[in-house]
Amino acid sequence: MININTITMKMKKVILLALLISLGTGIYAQEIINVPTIDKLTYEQYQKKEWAQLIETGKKSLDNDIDFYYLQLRMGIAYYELKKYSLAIKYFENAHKHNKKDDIVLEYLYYTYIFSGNYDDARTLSPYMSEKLYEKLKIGSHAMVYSLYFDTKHNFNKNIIIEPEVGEIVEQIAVKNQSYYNISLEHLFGKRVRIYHGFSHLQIANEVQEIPHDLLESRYKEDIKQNEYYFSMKILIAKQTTLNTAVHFISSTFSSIDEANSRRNRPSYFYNYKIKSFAGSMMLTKNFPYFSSSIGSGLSTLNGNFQVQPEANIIIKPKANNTLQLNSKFIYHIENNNEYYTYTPIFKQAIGIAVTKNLYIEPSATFGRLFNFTEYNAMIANNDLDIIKQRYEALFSYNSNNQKVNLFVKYSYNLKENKYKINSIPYSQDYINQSITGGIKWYF
Amino acid sequence: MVFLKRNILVLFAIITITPQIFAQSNIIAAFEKSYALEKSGDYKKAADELKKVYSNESYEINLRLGWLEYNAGLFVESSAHYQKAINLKPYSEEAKFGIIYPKAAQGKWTEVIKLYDEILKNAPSNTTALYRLGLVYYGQKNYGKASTYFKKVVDLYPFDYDGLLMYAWTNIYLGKKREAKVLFNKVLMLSPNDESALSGLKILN
Repeated sequence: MININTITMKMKKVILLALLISLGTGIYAQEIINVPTIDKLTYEQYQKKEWAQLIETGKKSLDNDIDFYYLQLRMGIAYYELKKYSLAIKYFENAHKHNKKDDIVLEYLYYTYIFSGNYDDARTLSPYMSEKLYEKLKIGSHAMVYSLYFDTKHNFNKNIIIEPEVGEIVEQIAVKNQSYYNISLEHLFGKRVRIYHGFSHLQIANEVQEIPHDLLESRYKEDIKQNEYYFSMKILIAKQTTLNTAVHFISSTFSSIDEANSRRNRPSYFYNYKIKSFAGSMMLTKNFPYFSSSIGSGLSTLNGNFQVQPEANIIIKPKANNTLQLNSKFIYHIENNNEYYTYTPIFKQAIGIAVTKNLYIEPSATFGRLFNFTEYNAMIANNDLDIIKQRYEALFSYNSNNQKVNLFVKYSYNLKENKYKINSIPYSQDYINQSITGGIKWYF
Repeated sequence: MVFLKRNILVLFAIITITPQIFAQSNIIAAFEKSYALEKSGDYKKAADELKKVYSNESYEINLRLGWLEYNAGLFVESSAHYQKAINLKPYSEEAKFGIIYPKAAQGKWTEVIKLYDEILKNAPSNTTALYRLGLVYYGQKNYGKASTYFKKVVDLYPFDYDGLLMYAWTNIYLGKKREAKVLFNKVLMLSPNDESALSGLKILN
């Protein structure tokens, strides 16, 4: 985090340098728009910390084709001080174009990129920095691993098992327990590539009821163990523009233990088989001063079907920073189950608020039937057997003061649909599923 | 015959001198118009007036065009005209100080330093150049070099506000607290209750 005292000291120096332009030009009336008068006026506004007025003067000056190095720098600083980081970028970039080696501009631009969420753009500045600034910003201190991430998710389901009455045969798969663990690493390569990869394990305990036959009882327990490997590569392809590609391999083992015939350390199974699935995603993201937009698509083969998931995402930042974000996501989910296609529009709306310097909360609601779908650039592959009809979530994210540790908790409230049959007649029931996800991320 | 010869000479003088007189009066008129337009803030038009009588060999026109174009924010053109003026009169300090304006406005500090060095090569005691070069190094956190230039300013003008104040601040950054304190107190003698000097002394105490 940038030290405010350091910045204040820097400002004093910037002011002093500005005198180089202003000296000896005080004879000009301020209403005349020319370089010396604008320099003098913006210098005074800068000294008095009249940021809004400085921006107004600067805009007026630029409209009259009066543009110079310190005008760009001061306008950038004015937006920075007003915490409108996304708007400050343009001005610091313009100043940087004129003088690539100015550490004052580089430091401001670096933090402006960071505070506006353009982390990869910030990395591209390192070749221009002096050794002193490079060390101060600790850019090269993360050797191989940039961050280590761990998260776990636990579900709480209501008992939805349909108890058959006399003469009824029930066919149902009901999820009883579900837990998920993930460990991931993030690496930075060169100045433009960021790789994120991790291993996750999902464990599900189901209660299965079906028509009795020779091999199985009518009611038994099923275990699903799912191992997953996720790999994503994010490349900064242009200023504030990233291309993120990801692959996700999923290996699910379905088994049911025949407890009567099992021995110690040697279980006997009614069945034990493996299904492999794949998910992938490609997403192009471009950040603008007041919003960022993404467009892309996911592909997956969850539960033996084929899914395509084109999506568009827009994050509106009304304050030109990350303190308030309105995130709208549109997904058009297409699935082919070898017989026919299903088309499902999905809409997610989130509101992100930075409550304090360290705490960020993000409530969200998702509408549309979520089934065999992927999220977060295919990092989450949801191959749950039950359909999610509505989902409400609340994310709480906490950053330590030194920005080295991030802790988060996400609560999810899902309205799910469980399908079952009684005497071969299909029925469905809605039920509430709740989950808690907790995670920690260390930055090195 | 003698009469004829004299008449021919007079005619020749009229033919050769008159256009020069007219040209000179046109240049003066163009300068006059440019001053009026500058006063009203129309720097581009002021420059256009001079361009009508432009001569590549005129130091004065190139120098003034450099100034007007700088004011109009046309830094590339301004630098070019100042450079022509420097080429025409290589010892001109005013042209070198002039070209520093557009260079500084573009943030070209390496060139600015080079130009100040050139000025100081010819005039080692030019306090304006010494002071401004000190500011450039101070801005670059090169306090050692900044101190060299501010010291020269203070040696030449021991009771000057700007030199004393900057030399005092530079001494703070160099850890020379005693020297800084003395200098800040001298600033207070010049400007009692001076905010910058008082804040400097507060740090030292």
